[in-house]
Amino acid sequence: MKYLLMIYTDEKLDAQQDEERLMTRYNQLISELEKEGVYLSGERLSPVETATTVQMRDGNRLVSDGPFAETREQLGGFFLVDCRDLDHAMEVAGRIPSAEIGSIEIRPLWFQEE
Amino acid sequence: MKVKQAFCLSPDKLLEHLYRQQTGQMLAWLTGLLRDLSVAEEIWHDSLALALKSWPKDLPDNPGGWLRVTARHLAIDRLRHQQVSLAKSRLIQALAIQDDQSEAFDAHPFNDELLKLIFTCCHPAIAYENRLALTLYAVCGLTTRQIANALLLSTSSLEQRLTRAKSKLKSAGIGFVIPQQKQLPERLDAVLKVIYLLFTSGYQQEWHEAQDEVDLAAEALRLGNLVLEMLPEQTECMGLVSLMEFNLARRNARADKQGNPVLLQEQDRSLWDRNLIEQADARLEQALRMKKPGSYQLQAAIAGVHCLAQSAEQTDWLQINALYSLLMQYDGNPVIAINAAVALAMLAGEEKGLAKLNALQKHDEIAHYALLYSAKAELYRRAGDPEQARIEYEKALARTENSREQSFYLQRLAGLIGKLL
Repeated sequence: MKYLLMIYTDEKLDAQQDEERLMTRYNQLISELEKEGVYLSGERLSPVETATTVQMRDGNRLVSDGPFAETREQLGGFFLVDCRDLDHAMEVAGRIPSAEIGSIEIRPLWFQEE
Repeated sequence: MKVKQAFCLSPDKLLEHLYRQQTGQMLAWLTGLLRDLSVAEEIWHDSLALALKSWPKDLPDNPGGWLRVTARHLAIDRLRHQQVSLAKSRLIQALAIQDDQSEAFDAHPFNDELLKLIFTCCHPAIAYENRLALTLYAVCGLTTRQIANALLLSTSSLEQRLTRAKSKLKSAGIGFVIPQQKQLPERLDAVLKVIYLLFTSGYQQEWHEAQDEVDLAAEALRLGNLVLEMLPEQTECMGLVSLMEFNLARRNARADKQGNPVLLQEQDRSLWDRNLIEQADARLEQALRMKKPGSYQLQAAIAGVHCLAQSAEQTDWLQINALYSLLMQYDGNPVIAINAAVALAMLAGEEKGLAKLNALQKHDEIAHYALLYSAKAELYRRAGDPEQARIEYEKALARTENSREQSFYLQRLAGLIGKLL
């Protein structure tokens, strides 16, 4: 099954992390996941201050500066993975370095191939 | 299946009995085949409906076997109608070859599958209250009405919980598997929590056998034994079963004839079930010898010290205090912390206990527990301060919605008034 693992962290906490070490750990995880045949894709996002939100209402476009929801933790990146089942996806989520300071939300994709 | 006994029942009573007895194993087996609990449920219900139609005319010799064979045929049909992959057509062949009268099919059915079903229903990704409902429904074979009554819910909100749980199972891709060794402790812990919560909610309720109510405490014990049978090396599971047995052994003594709760110190110990206590004690011994201690084993050990004391005065409070300090290292749950303070008072005097309870009261997550104030009240009463005891009982009363607890606090308050006048 395909799952999106969304990485939420508090950007203030994130800024205190050792960036170089963090990147090494992420790269290491990606190569492990590739070897295991789990990894499909993954990206890191620019900070939440770069976010723009668009809504269409009665044909009018509403644009606002910032994220859709103001929360303590922001979406900072994602992995798209192919896992056996939820337990497997939970195991992968637990290995994401940012899980130690933030939260990983696991969502199965709507369409799954048999 | 006790065939002789079955013949004495009318077909619908017999079906009710078989539903209760076989639902867990049938749903487990069918889910293993079809990989979908909802489809398994549909097929099991269809089999029961077929039985209800044909049994009044022609009751089979082996009604349980009849149901299983019918469900198997329906499952084969269902698999044939689904998109056929190679794996599936092999499965259909294998199923179709099985002899309908096969002994193996009848004998000790599907324990592995049943364990998978339990792990699936208690998966930590399912909301806590939905796990309880789903386990009672799919594993224990209770009807929605019985579960709703037992969990104090309306049937419609219970059905919502079941629907939500089943849809989460399917859409989140929760596997129908026994967890891998690495995940087993976490997953087993989730299973044991569900069992213990069922037990405590059943144990606190009054249970009326005559009104076809379900005894959740007995149901929890049955589940605990089932898991233990399949995972006999798991010491915490042994500890939990032993804890439930120690508590059940005291069940007859914990309320007076009017149904009011009786404190442990004041219970008539001749009403305790000595056989069950011995059984629980032997089980706990066996667990402790395996030297993998944990919260349930320690709670069972504390319950055991109480149960084995000849009288309330002879309780070994020194040992209980030692066990509580160990237990607090495993489990910081507020109820345990409050009980530990009460145990300290029994050993070192009311003042020491009250000091501990006052310290606990400073924690917001403990301060709303009625038990905290009733514990303080009881210590003030024993220390000869009925006025302070009254104040604390009133605080306890204001913090509970449980009618049994309310009437207990009212009864203690009434007892204090004599001393205050």
